[in-house]
Amino acid sequence: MSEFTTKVFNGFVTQGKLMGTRCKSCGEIHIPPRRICSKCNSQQLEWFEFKGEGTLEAVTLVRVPSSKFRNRSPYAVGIVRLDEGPSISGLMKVDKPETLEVGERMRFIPIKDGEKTILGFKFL
Amino acid sequence: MGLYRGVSIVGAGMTRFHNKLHADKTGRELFVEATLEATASVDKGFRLREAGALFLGNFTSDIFEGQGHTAAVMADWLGINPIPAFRVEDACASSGAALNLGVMAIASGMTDVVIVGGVEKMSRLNTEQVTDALALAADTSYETSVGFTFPSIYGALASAYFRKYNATWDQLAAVTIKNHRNGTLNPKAHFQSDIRTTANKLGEKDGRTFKNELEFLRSDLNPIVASPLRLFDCCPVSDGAAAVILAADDIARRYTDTPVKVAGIGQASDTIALHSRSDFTTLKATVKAVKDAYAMADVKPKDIQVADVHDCFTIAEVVATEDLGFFPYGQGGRATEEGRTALNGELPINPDGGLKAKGHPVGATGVAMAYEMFKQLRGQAGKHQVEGVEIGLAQNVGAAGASVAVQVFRRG
Repeated sequence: MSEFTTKVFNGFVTQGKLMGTRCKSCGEIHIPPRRICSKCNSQQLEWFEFKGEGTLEAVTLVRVPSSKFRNRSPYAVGIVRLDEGPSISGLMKVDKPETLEVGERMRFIPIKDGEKTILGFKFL
Repeated sequence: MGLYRGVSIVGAGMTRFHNKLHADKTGRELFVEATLEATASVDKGFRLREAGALFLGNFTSDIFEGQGHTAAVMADWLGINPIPAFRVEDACASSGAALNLGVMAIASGMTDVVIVGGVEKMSRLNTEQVTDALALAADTSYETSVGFTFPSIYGALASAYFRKYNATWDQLAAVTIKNHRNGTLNPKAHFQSDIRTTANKLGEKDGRTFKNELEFLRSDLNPIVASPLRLFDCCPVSDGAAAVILAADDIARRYTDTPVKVAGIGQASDTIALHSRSDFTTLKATVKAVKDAYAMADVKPKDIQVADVHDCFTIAEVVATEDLGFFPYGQGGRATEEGRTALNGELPINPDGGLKAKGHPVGATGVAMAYEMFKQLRGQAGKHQVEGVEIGLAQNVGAAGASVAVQVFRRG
């Protein structure tokens, strides 16, 4: 099985899969994947596939973007608490980003960005 | 946990923090200026060569100035080679962390006297370049890669805080108004104009009048940076440097009869990404660092009489006052609105104007907080002096709390 790296994680995102790790020792699940369990420090980890659904717990509308997101401004970015427990940051692909509020149900989607893919979310 | 040997501040200096005033100076020149002021502030005299080590907080002069290896640069420019010189990088908590290490160096017995400083020369870059540079303090692989900037991480944090505690942006505006008011009393502050005056000035240019500060802060003259945070919720981009001279308690009186004791220190880390935490409305690293600092100093939150906290964004001050134990969770914003943290309140927070008005040359901030506490506890803070204070606290945060440095200070 592939290594628990950013590169492999991003490869899964491109394929439309949201993958993390599960600790075989304590059962903790993590996203992104880790080599060492952040709860019990075990190195006995295995891949874990998230369903990709969750609740928006934090969101902001960015009007002063970084250079790489200049062309998307204004855009919403936020943190989704996945139904399995852990949460992850993503770019929000919604029609009126300024109306997005904490509490919305979201679903993971890969967002094409030239050669790359950005981890994104849309309304469930 | 304790120190084998007590440590005190015997001198402190800082440049004014500003975005234009220092245009013709490099970081090293700012740092020399701050250190010379610190040297001159030592009551019974101090020669730079008496220092046994230099600890320098600096976030990224590599990006801001194209200069790495900054501790060596500063040691050279202070003319004190071959002094051991260490650069400490913990993002915005760099010099708070450097201060903690400086204390440890003396406590370990390695040396009796240490110079701790911080510097950042940020203004050479434009807004987008500074935005990119500051984003390096967040998680490049998993936060900035999806569009997070540094202000937007705090914007997201604020959205979670508002939801959890039913809090409002007006509470953040109260932080802005208070800190800018304090800044008018601090000659070292970047902004020395209160919001009322700024509203009048900007309104006049635009042919508009604002009936009060809130009306101005809600207007398009205070645009959204990353919702709910507007321009005046964010600290400015500033150049500046700060330095303190630390001495072992057993020799501090060689330098001054009124040292300020570093009574307790704390340092903690947390996940680099905000999303990896169970709660986005508290910085666990602050909670842990201050717990350790209180224990070492043998004080409780209610013993603190004045504090500088890390208000890089207004929401950060609100969260800090809760995590430090000053106010119950969810109550920090209301406490500010009620004036409890004002200069004449029960617990003055950021009497120097905070990062918000004083400015935030990233690497200089932690030591600039120690400078403020040194002045406050010696009764030398001038117009923003809080009367009769003996115990103070500084809380310096790296990014969204992945690093936090805390010190409790006590009049010697």
